[in-house]
Amino acid sequence: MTTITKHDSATSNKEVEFASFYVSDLLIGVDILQVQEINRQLTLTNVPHAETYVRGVVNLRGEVITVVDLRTILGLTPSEITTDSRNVVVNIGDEKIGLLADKVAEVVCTTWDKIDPTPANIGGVEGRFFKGVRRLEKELLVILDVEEILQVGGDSQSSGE
Amino acid sequence: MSGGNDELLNAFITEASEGLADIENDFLKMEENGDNVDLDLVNKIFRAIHSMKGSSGFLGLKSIGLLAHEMETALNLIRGGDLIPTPTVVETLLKGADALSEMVRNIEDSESYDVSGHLDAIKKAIAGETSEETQESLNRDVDVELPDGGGLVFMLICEQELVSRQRNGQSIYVLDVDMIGDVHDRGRTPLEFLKSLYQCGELIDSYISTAGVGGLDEDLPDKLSLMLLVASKLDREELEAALEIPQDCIHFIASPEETDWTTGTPKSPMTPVSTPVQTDEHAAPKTSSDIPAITNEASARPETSPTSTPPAIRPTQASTSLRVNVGLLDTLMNLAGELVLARNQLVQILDTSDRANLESAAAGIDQITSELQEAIMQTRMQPIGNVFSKFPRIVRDLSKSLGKECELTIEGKDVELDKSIVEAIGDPLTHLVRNSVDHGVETPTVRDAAGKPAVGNIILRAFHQAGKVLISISDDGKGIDPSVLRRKAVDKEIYTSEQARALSDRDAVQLIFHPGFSTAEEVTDVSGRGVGMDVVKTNIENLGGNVEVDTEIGRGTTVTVKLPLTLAIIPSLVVICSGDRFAIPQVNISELVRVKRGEVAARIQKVKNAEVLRLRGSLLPLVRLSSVLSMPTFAPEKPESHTVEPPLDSSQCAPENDASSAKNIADSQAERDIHSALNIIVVEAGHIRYGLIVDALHDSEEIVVKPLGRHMKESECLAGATILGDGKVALILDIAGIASHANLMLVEDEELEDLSDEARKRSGDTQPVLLFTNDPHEQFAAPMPLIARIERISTNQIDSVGGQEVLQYRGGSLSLLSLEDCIKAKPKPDKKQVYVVVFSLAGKEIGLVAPELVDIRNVPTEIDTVTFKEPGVLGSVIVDDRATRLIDIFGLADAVHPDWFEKRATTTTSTGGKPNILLAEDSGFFRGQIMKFLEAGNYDVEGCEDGLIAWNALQDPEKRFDMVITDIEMPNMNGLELAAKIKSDPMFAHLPVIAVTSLAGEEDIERGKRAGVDAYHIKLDREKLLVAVADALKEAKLKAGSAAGGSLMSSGRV
Repeated sequence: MTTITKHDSATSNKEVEFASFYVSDLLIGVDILQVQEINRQLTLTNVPHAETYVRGVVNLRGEVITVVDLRTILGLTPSEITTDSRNVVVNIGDEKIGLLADKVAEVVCTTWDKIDPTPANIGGVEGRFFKGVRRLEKELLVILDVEEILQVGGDSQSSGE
Repeated sequence: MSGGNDELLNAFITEASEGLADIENDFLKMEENGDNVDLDLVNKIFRAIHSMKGSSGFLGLKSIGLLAHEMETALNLIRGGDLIPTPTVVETLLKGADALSEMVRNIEDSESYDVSGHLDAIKKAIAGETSEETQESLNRDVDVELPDGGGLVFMLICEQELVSRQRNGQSIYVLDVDMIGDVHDRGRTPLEFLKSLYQCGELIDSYISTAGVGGLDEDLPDKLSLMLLVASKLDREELEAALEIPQDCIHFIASPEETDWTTGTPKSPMTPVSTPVQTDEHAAPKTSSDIPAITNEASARPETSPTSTPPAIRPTQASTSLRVNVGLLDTLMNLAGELVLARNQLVQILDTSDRANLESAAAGIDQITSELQEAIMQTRMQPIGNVFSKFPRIVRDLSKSLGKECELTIEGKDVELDKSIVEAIGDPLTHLVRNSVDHGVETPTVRDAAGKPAVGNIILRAFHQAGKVLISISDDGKGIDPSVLRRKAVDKEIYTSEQARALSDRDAVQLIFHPGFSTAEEVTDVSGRGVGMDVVKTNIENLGGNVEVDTEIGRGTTVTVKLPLTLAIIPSLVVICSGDRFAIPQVNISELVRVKRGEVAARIQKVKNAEVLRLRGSLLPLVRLSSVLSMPTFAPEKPESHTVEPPLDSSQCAPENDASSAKNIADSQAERDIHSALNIIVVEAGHIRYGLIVDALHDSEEIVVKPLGRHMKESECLAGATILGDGKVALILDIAGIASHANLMLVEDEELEDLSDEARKRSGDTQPVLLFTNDPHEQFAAPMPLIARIERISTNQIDSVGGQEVLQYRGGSLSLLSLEDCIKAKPKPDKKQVYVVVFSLAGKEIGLVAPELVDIRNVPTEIDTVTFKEPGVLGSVIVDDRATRLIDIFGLADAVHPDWFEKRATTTTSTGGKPNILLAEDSGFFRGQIMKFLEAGNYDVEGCEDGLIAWNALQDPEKRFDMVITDIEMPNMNGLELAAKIKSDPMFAHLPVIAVTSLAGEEDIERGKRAGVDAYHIKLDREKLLVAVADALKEAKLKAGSAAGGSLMSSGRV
């Protein structure tokens, strides 16, 4: 996987909004159109034999959805669930998946042409998980490649470059 | 235009599929009627094909149009009585309908579909069955020319059709419709226009004039001319009013003899033949007002009636949309409305925190939710007829290709099942129906020879029974021969010939479900491909159902499929393991076993690191849920453990009397389990049966199955998830998956058997008994083999009639015994609910009141017959440090109902003396018991401690025995060895040998038979044993008298 931003040049100056949240020290952004909701629904049920990054399943109004721990996928120490923890539910394919966030931040409004390519490594995390970075006043917003993140365990787990 | 076209195309697909859904069966009915044509039926088919043809022309689907046109021609001939729907004709039409369905399904590729084969076939079929004149007029296609000089319009209609239509009183019009000016600008969609057209008459052909149409990228053209050739009974004015098109666009076409018609071949319209052709069927009247004197006119009229309805609507298989009754939708709407009201109420109450109102609101929501759920479930229910409707065709085609004659009767089309089941049951049922035709019904010659009617009957029936839907497929064919199956099983090395012989007929028939088994002598392409019934069985089991076969050689076979009404909600047992809850579907659970702390060491054993449970004489492999799921092993904070009332056979329940011992400590270490009780769920999935060790039972609950996300798809131990009452998610266990994950193989069975044999030998003779208490401090035991079942009743069901206690139930009464009335026992405590242990004695039933059940246990047979000696008590034994009296149920029953056991006619030997019986039994207790009741039955008995002693006694020339009764497990020489020795010695081979055992298992009986044992009986079943002894002696006497002749007779007289 290359680290070139994957966005289409035609859309580069259209406004995009990112829901942002913290995972460890990283401020992570997800295209708000992909986000179904952010909630505190973290009454997790463990799933035996699941990958380590699967924290469990929760009941989202009658639907059983998987909650993954972004920290584990990104190679950081596993999260602890606190009162700040949130479940960021994203739509991917025809499935909803919850991303475990340590803390939510605000919605960032920007355009694609202001987003820079991802460096190979951000704070010890492989760049392949991100679509790009956006410099904010104080910090860096990294745009999460949700598809790539949730591929993990499927086929691209072993890619070590 | 393209958006509208898509919509039109979708509407076409829906309509065409609906039209085609029923067409098969209609064709079959048509064939059945033969030359006695049912016009309504033909018209119905005609309409379906016809509207397809019309719409396809409209949409530019040429292949569909051509085929539909040809089929329509044939149907039209049938309608007019010119073509008899012979099987050949119907066959080609059916194939044509298949091709149409195929094309409609893949509408995008329909143009590339080659229909010429079908066209030729239909033409040929018509050619073969119609008169030459008809054919000729069929081949003459007519080009249509507008009468008012509008030029020649190329539309196809064959002369025959024209004539027959006019015979039916229809007039032919050409409509020149401007789709933009006349349709679009008047706020109508093309579809609406077509629909109104169909109500006025029949569309014969259509033609889009491309002259006024520009390129696609340009703006819409202002005129789009569509030429329609229409047959209608209406006149021009009426058409104008009905279609809302200007009258000058409607051109009346006169009949052939009025000229304007030219004939020519379709391929070469450039060379028109100028002479109008007159067929010898007299030309039809010119206008609609002249009603021709043709009798079928009336039945043809529905065609033009505006109220004519399309054929019944049937969703096609695996459709993603569903038709729901409007009434049901209204109910749903109402309920949703009420739910909103209830929510509002609830929100209001939350502000005031008014407890009483809160409760009523909660109750309201509870009720509405239940109703809502039920109504929504109903929307998923589909009639099984959707599946059944394809079988007449299958049976017809198949029996034809096999040279058989079958009649299919379908009953219970309206029985409803969940949509997902209806969709999934199609393939298994098809297989079963095909099997009935292929393997069941014989060829007419064979049937004739067997004295059966040549036409075989296959009955497909769906009906409700006990909350399930049963579908049975019966045929009156040759049945399934168990001996053929046995032979096959040996050929295929599924069983050894001995094992195969040992199979009961019923079990042998079940072999058809064995993987790789096919019963057809020859493999046909229809069924018998070696994959078959096992797949059927698996598929049906996946749906939560099961399948059974009932067969009688020469009479037929019935396969019964039992299905749940719905898959969406399944009853299950919720268990706890390592603090998490898991659901196990009830269908997988066969019983619950609780092994108490003290017994763990004795009942749980290890075979090659695998744990097994000794359960009623056999060994069951065990799987620890926590280790299979690799769950952390910690004690759950608060195990909510209480014994659940399992919906299981009551005789199997091992209830618990000591609540304090119900403390469960989760523990994956087997060693530590010795200190805690074990909850074992005996589960079954297919052929696999094992015990699943869980920490605690939680509850039984009806759960709704939810799928798991893609990250968990690979877990073979999980079947899905569900949401429990508290809103938390619980995972559903996959019982078969766990077995394979735990590497639980059937191969282990042999080792297990070895071990169980060994265990039996080591532990000496044991007798399984039911332990119970009367007064809580006095423990009693009753022999398990004599117990028919156990019932739980409330004490107010017990009546006292004439000093006897009886229980009214199942429409009859059961005589009850209370221990304190019969033997020296403390009275039972006052309880609302008691158990009744039902014994079956001498064909009658008697119930023993047992206030508390303790356990089912194997007790050693070193029974003390002295300490508690009294009638009704066999003796005593120490179980769990408690003196336990073994009750003599025959003694008890005898005391209460002496009339039950009337004197048996005693058998005498040929010399007139008492028969002399040799008894070999190592357990002093049983030896004493059996001798006692045999002597009471007027026999002389000699008891021996083992087989060797018995053998030596036989050799003694001083003694003469008439029969041998032997135990199986004995030191020095066991019962089987003894039996084999007796049977192989010519001196004694005539002696009947009866084996007695504490619990007769199938394998035991089989082994005994091989050794020469004549009968097998349970030691403590006095009545049966006495009857068997009498019978065996009688039989032996007969044999000796008739067959052996002089020598034996004389030796008898010595």
